[in-house]
Amino acid sequence: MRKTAFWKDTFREIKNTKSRFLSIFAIILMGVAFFAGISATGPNMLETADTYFTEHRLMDSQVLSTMGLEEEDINLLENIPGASVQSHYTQDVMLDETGLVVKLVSYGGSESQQINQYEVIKGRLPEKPGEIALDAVQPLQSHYQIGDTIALETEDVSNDPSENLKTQEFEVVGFVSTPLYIQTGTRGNTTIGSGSLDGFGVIVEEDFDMEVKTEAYIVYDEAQSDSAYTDQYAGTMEEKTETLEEAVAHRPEERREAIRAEAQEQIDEGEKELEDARQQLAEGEQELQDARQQLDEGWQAYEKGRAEFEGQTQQAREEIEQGRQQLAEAQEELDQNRIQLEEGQQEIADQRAKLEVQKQQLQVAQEGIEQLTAAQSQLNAAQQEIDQRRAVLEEQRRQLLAAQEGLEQIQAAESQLDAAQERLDQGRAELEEQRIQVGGMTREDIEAGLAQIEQGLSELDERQPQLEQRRTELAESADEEAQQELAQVDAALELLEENRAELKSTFQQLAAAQDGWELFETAESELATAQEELDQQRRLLEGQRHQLEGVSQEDIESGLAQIEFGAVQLDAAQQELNQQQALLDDQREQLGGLDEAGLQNAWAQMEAGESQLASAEEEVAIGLQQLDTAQEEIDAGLQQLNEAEQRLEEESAAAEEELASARAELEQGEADYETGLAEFEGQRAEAEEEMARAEEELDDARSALDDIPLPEYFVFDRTTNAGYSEYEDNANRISAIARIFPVFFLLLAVLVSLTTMTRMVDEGRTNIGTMKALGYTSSEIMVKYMTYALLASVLGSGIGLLIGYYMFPIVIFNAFGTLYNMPSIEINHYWIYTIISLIGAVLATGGATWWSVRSTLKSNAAALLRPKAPKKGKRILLERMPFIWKRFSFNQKVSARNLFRYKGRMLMTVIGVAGCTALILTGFGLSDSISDVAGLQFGKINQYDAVVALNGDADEEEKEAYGEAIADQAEIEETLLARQESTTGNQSGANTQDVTLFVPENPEQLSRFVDLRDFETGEPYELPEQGVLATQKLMELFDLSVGDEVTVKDADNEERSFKVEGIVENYLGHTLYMTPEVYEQAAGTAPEFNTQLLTFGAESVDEDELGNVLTSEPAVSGISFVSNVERGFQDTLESLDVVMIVLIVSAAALAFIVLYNLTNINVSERIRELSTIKVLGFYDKEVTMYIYRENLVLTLMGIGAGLLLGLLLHQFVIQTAEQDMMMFSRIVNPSSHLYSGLLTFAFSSIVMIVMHFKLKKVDMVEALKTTD
Amino acid sequence: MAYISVIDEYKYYGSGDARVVANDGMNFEIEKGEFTVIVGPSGAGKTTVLNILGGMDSADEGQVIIDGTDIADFSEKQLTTYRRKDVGFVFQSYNLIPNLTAKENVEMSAEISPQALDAEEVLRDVGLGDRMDNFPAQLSGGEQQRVAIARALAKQPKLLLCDEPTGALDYETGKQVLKLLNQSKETYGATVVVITHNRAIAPMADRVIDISDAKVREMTVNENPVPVSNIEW
Repeated sequence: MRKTAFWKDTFREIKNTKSRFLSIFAIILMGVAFFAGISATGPNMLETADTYFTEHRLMDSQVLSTMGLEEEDINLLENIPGASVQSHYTQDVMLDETGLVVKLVSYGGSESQQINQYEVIKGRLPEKPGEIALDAVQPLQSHYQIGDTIALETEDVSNDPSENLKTQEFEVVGFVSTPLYIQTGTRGNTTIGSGSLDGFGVIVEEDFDMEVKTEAYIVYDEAQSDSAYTDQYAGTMEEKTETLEEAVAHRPEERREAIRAEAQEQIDEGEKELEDARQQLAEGEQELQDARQQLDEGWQAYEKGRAEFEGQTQQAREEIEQGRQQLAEAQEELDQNRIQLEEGQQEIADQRAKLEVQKQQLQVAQEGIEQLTAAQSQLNAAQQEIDQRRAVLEEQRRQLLAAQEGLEQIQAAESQLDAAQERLDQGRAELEEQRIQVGGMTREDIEAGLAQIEQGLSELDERQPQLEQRRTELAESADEEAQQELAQVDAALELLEENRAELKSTFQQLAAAQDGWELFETAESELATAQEELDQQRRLLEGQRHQLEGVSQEDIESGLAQIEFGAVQLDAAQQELNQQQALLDDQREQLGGLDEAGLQNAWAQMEAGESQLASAEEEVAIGLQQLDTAQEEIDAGLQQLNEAEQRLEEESAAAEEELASARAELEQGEADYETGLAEFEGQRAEAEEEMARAEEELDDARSALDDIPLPEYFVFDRTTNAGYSEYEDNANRISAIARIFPVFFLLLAVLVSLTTMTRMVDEGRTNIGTMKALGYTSSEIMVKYMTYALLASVLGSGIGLLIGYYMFPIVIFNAFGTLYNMPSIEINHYWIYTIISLIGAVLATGGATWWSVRSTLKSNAAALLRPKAPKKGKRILLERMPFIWKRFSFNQKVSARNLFRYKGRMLMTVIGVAGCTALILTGFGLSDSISDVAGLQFGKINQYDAVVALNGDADEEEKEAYGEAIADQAEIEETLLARQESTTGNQSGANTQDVTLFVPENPEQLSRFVDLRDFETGEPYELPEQGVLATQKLMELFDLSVGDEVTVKDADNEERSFKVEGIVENYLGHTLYMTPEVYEQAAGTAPEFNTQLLTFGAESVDEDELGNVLTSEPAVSGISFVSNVERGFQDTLESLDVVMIVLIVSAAALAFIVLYNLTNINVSERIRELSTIKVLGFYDKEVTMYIYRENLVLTLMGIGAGLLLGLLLHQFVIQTAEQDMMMFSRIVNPSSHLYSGLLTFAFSSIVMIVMHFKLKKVDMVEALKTTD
Repeated sequence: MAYISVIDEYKYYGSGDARVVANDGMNFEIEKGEFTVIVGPSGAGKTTVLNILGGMDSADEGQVIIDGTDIADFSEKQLTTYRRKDVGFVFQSYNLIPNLTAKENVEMSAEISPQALDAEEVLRDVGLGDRMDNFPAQLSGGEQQRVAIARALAKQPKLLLCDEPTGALDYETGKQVLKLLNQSKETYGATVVVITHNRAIAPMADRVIDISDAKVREMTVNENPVPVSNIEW
């Protein structure tokens, strides 16, 4: 390399201005990464899907028919060139216990030939009957595990799986996914259970028991080599679909003919059967008639036999009777003889009896005599007895009377005794009194007293002589002493005398007392004796009484009465006796004449009579013997007769029995015949009824033959597969975003590069001048700057492409990962984006450089070497408005003037900030718009909760049952019948659109189901009497407004035009709302309501349960719940949020770089100024604020502009990203504005913080060095 | 002690082999109110000295005592405060804020100083009473320098530091600026330090500090400074 110094300078420049180089590099990197990455994401997604579809041979076409597919259909399909066909049986079933609804699909054939090849997630595919591989969707995976057995619900389900399946139990052997359902959520609709499928299940073909296949899938070699989602593929498929449709076009007719033929055959068969039945009936009747005849004959034979038998019996009986008569005559004769004999005998007997009487009389007389004697003695004895008895009675009476008397005596004695006792007691009491008078002295006391007295007296008597003697003695001695003593003895004698008197009186008293005592004692003993006596009497009485014990007065009286009675009896007996005596006396009188001798005589006479009688008897006996012999003969004859009779009886009984059994047989036959007849009659009625019915059925069948429905054949391609289309929509949505977003991004990068490079060239002014002065050519100088710029941009683009291509598709695809079961994304590079990026980057930086350098190079070297005159200060407009200017602080004035001084940079900053804000706002806005759609469409506009698709073939009864089922559901608040008809709308300049005609039965009710509001003013609409209300997006696409006509084609390609009376807010699909009248006017027929909208009153409704109930009604062909639709839709849209986050983060990063770069340039451009104020003593903070104040204003201006720009950008992106069928909300939430502003502001603040530290480090000494 | 004392002050730039000694043990003193000229050839280290005196740079070693305070140990912030209150700068290239008028340039400085003078008055003092509302670009070099001086004086600094104030000016204008600086010493009582490579200016100074090869060669106190008008170069 020559110019080594030149290159050195160039690279050193880069080294010295690393941050500038890096900022260009970074902004280019970001711009390119974003552009290439986002742009590549859509195509990458589609290509990933294509690879997956090709690998798994996703079907190109699907053929279904309302009557299944026959072998011939399959053959037809196989004959299409380049087509390979696979047909399946399918059956929707409900799983027991979990209630999940699964579509069972047959699996068979070789693996490589499979269409829609399964991808085994776990376990394996089914290999033998009874095995099942389940859809690897969450509800199934969470409920079942490999090895589990699942049973099918067979009862509470509107279709019985057992009709079409050989087994109802399967073992789970694996979990699989299929390219048919790339979405992880929805699996389509069904007519059972809740109305939507939860997944599919794969079982071997042998488990099905169906006559026709349900569906056929086709892949074309040609189409499989085309990439999915491409126009080429669409073109190929258009052709193929046409071929396919042609191939099956005649099949409906053929099928109908076949069915008709078959039906005719069946009708013929039925007719034949009917004929057979009739014949059988006739035969039966014939048989019955034969039986009757036989029975009648039997009866005849029986009657004849019976007559014969009776005749014979009669004859025999007559013969017997004759014999018997003869015998009877003989008997009579015999009997007469016997009578004669017996008369003789009687006579004898009479005689004998007379004799006997006489004998008896004799005996009686004899006996009478004896008896009389005996009776007399008896009577005597009786008399004696009576007398005796009478005596006894008399005795008894006496005794009784005595007893009575005794009793009375006793009573009297008792009372006497009591009186005596009383007296006794009285005496005793007196005695007692006396005793007391005696002074309590006892007898002993008295006696003792007496004894003492006696003793005293004796003592006295004793003493007296003594005393007397003494006196005498004394008196002898007349001495004084003796005198004295004599006096004393006289006194003593006197005293003695006195004592004696006293004793004597006492003795008398005592003696009196003793007398009293004696008296007393006598009295007492008398009393005791009296008492004893009394007691004895009493005892006696007691004894008598004892004897009389038990004999009461009554007894005595009754005894007396008895005695009396006995006496009467005795009197009666006496009387009888007397009578008998009289009788006896009579008899004795009667017998009076007869005596013993007379008796003797009589006896002899009697004996003679007796012997006479005996001989007569002998004669009679002989006569009798003869008679007996005759009798014997007669008896023998009789016996013979009897025997004969018995034989006759026996024989006739046997015959009778025979006859009876014959009769019984006949009767049995008769009964059998009757039952047979009745049975036949019953059966005949039944059979006739049946035949009539069969006839009717046949008639029906015959007439039905004419209106057998034409089977419908459906040919679908991939676009009808929800997952396939939805995936494409998502990819396209991202591509749409990629169309505008990255361009904007790239523009910002260009802007930043331009500013940066311009600055760089400015800074290098002296350098350029010097080089120029040294003799370098302009182009050589240009090379230096170009090298610098291009190096930064190419490096940035390279790395940006690398990052972009890898990071963005992976991040975004992963966001969709939860929605689709797809393999990892394929990363492809797209030259188109690479080239656009490179050209964009190179043009941006290179162009900017070229432009800057170019204008600088125009000046000559000398001018360049002079420092560029600093930009002149100028008065600004604001200063001419002193009322504002004056209010400004000094710093504000400075800032204001600075702002306007660098208009270019100000503009750059504002644009940069505005751009970033706009990007962020667009990101947020997109998120708002998209996430609002579900809420707006399903919450605000569609206010119904469910749509029931009604079965058009339902009869009245079924409709009624459905109506009742609806009425039974308490949660259903209101219902609205509506016709929803799919039509297509065409308008030049727009794609063909699917347009739904919506015709409510009651237009007044509509507002509670669909909220129709003007798309601009929000005014609510009523359905117009003429014309229709059209949805916003359709009107936009067709560029129509109120008053215009909108034309759609119905299923029969008939055109219908409607006048648009109003445009209503709507987000999903296109709808024309109209009254039944308007519909009828346009269509010519009254609308047939095929759907019913439901609203729920309750907050939470068990939709699965409700779905189960409603789909089990034959009148319902399906039900879809708005919540399900909304959820699915929401999921899809929410994953777009990730894209929005990518956008926002990228925009934020961009904002940072842009702000940093611009601020950096600002600072470097004004470094001298900043250094000056620093030197002047501005604190770091003040220096930062000096710059920041300007930046703040610029940022705020940028944010303001950005928000406006963002709205525009948002509208643009929204409209680009929208599909024809969907309109996003055009409204950006206020919060999004706030967030965008705040985020930008935050970045600007971060930038200033970084700048603050950078400014702190500014070497003011260096900056202020004189530039000479 | 002198108003300004620089004692054994060292300043290095770079490191290792590339280390350059800008000030190699400088010692000098300046009295308050003196007009001092620091003179020396290019690269002698005189600008470094000025920067250190003005608090724009700090000494690596030694003491720099200004009015009794050693600023050698000052932090960035203290230095800023020092610059803000006590120092006025006049640069060779004026360094006016181009976006501000003459008056505003002065005001800008005055605004941040506690004992600031009225901007207009100062401007009139420097003879720009009728150019106050002109932007720097509308002023001649001398006028711009006078604005710069006014800007420095408005703060009533303890120290007025001038780095080759006449370097970009023609002879006459240079003389006028020097005269103005000399006057301001008298009018405002400022201690003025002028750095120049032009020895011709030295006679007008009260004190001359001769620097070469990063060292103070000579410091002379001029008892009888020559009036500016008598100086010629």
